[in-house]
Amino acid sequence: MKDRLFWSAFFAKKAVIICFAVLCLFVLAAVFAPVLAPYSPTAISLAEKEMAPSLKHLFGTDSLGRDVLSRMLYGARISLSISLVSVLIGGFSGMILGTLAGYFGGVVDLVISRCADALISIPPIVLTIAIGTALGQSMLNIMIAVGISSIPGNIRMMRGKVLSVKERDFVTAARVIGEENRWIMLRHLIPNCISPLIISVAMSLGGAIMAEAALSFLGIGIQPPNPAWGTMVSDGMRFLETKPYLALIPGFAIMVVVLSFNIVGDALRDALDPRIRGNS
Amino acid sequence: MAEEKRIIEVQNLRTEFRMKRRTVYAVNGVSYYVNAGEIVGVVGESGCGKSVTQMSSLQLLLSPPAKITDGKVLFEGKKDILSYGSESEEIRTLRGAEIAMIFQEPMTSLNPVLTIGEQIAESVRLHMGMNRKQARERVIELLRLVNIPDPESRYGQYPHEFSGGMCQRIMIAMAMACNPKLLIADEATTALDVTTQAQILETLQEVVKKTNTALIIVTHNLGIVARYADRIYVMYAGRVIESGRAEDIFKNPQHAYTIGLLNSVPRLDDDKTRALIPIDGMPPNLQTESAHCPFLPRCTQALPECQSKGVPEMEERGCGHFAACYNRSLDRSLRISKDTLETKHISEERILDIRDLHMGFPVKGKNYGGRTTLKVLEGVNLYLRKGETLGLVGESGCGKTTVAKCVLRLYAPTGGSILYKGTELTALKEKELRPYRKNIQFIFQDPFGSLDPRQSIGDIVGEPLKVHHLAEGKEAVRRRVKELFEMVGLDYAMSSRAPHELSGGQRQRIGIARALASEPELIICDEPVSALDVSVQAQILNLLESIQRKMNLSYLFIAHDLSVVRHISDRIAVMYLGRIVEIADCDQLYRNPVHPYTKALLSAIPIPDPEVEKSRERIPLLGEMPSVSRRPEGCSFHPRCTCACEACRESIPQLVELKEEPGHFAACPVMYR
Repeated sequence: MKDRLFWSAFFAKKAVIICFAVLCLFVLAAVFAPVLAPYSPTAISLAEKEMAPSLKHLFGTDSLGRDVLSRMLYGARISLSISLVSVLIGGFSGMILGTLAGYFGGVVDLVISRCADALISIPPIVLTIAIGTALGQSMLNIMIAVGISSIPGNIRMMRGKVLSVKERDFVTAARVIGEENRWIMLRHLIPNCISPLIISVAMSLGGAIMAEAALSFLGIGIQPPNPAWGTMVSDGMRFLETKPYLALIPGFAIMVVVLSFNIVGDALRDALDPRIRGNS
Repeated sequence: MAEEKRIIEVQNLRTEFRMKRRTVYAVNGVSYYVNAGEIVGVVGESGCGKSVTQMSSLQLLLSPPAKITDGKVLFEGKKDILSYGSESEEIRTLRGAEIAMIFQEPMTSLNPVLTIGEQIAESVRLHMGMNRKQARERVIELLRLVNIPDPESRYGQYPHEFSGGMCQRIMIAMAMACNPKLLIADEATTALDVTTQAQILETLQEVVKKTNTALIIVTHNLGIVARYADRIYVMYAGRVIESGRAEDIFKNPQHAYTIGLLNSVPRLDDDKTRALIPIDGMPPNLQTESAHCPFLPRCTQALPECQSKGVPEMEERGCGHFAACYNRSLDRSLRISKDTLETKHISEERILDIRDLHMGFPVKGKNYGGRTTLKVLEGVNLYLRKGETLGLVGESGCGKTTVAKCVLRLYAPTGGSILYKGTELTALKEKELRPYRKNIQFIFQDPFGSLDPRQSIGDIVGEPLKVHHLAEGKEAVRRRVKELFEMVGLDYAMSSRAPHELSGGQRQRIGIARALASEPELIICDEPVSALDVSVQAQILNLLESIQRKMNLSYLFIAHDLSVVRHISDRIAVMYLGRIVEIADCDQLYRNPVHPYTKALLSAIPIPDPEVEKSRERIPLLGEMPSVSRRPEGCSFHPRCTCACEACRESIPQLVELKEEPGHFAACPVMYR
């Protein structure tokens, strides 16, 4: 009954259905990349380099003659997983740390908030590079590096929301009942504070794809010849005037994914909130 | 009434709210008039269209969705002001200069970054074309009119430097700035303390009589209209269902709804045994135009013709007294005894014993880095016997809620002891405290805020069961939650709803059900009915009383409304600035109040009966309650006391038992004389 309400609220708008379908399509494409890709994503064929889109190469070929379609499909695996996992790492840690800081206050708040302030003072890209370099090269490490740089913002957002919600009567009511702190945070604070975090996480997905590209560009991220959307955009930039499709195709894919995530994120927030759910 | 000058006359006003999927018929043919120098009360439950009517007459509602579909509003008998556009020059001059409104929230109605003088001067200069200097003089004159002391220096102060009551006075000054002919006070005193409320209304009454202004008081408080209004309009479901002179309406109500309202409010001069009779059900949602009397579904005195004859028209029942009710022989018996309830069992065992409780909050001092303590409680002594209700009253800011939060150990008291059945609660750590949490529960003032908006009401009520492992397994929890729902008069079929889908009364029932879930012995009720409509208030009070008898509960009942406290309490403690100033049996306290503060508090509560009101002595309170950070030396009350002596200024009076009345304690040296 509750689940049905949730799903009907989630899919209340047409845009959400479309965006959700688009995301599913991208995920399927990534999963079935080996089946779908017409060529190997790394096979170099200098004879066929920089070919415009044609029937043979639907999205054309790049400066080394690699098939862009195949690279896009394989790139989806890397880009989608890196961006998703890294924002989840950032979002989850930010949520937990922010809640702890906001709820307990005092020394806990002092330590967490000052650490977050210190991290915020470093430009995110520099921070990502530093962490990436320190951890060394691997897909997981890139995810962690990109994730960590988004934690401080999430901590602040969550902490601020928790500070206001914890003064509300229903939290007092929970304490009067005798609920433990852990229980109060999990059952009352987090569900009531998570809306802005969901939005922010959905919006930071695009940033994560680009951050990964920046890392690759600097030689810390995904290394050539492995394909990733971010790297493809930055590679394609050099040929923007002569072969615009090289940057535009992955760029467009990033845009569609980020837009879809934003709209799905909005719908998720609304569907989780019984007050909004009732009105839709 | 020598001069019968009509200021405003509204005829057959109709307003609808046209939403996407539905239309709400908020005002259905309302007619009223107000004469110069007259105070008119508009009463009814919330959602009855009282405010919408006033807003419509001034075209202050946003359109769309609001649409005025019919009616005339004649101002000073001249042109129909509805024929002006809602943003036309004519209506705007009228609104600012001729008709002024005062709203409920004084704090949010003032701009925090401008001084109050500038804010009042603004409208004076706009509408009366005065220059700076003239405007300043006019503002000071206005501040003096609304009894703000020392207006010259107050002129340059900002809103945050004033208390809520003072802000409301400033709003009145602002409203009076251009000598309006009509003043509309829309629940203007609802957010204020009873004592401040009395002061503000006295001021309004004085101002209106002095300047011959017409005043409309919109309120749900029957006592207020009984004390101040000359004439009354009772509204229900967007219609006026009864109107007439205040004396006639209270003495001889001619509509079943008016009688219902009067039966549901507790009165200060009540017999202790009178039971409240709530009006069952809720006001209609007004989405359809009703074919019969809108009150019919809730009416206990309906006749067969009420069903068949259509909506009753207003008919004259006496000189200037009109009512829209088919039943001409209504039963007006106001007094029904509480005999039907089980008897209370109060044992001598003290379930709660508070001794010399001190509570201070550290605050930043004036000097950099300096810290001082805000002493909110200064030695509170109270005890509560098993099965009894102790009422705790006082103005807001006196520390009532702090006492409650100390008992619940939401605050750690800085001194003194709290004994629950002999166990010292202040010494316990959070873990050791957990078993006691089950026994001491809390009911909140704001029923909505105390319910987690993300949970279903079934889950909310079931939560204590899970926390204290009082029911194992889903089925056991479900069964117990169902039992609790039935106990507080709710249908279990609603259990999957979210709090926002319920009415105020239903929410408070959920709050009560949650408090009862762990089978507590002591419940602290912090203003449990002050946010509710009068008819719902009666339902909740009756519910609290019947549960108490069934489960042998003890209540610490915190409230500022002395008539409610009197109705439910066995003993009453009066608190002022963190100290108990008087404590006595309920009847003793009302019959023979000793402390001047208690006397003033009692006299500030209006009784819904104009005849009683006329003969009552009013004891004014001087000024306002100071903040705890500026607690006066000696007896905290002495600066406001009319009979303070030298001793009061020097030493703090202790609670002393009255010789002739055992069990009646008061802290006032004056009583020895």
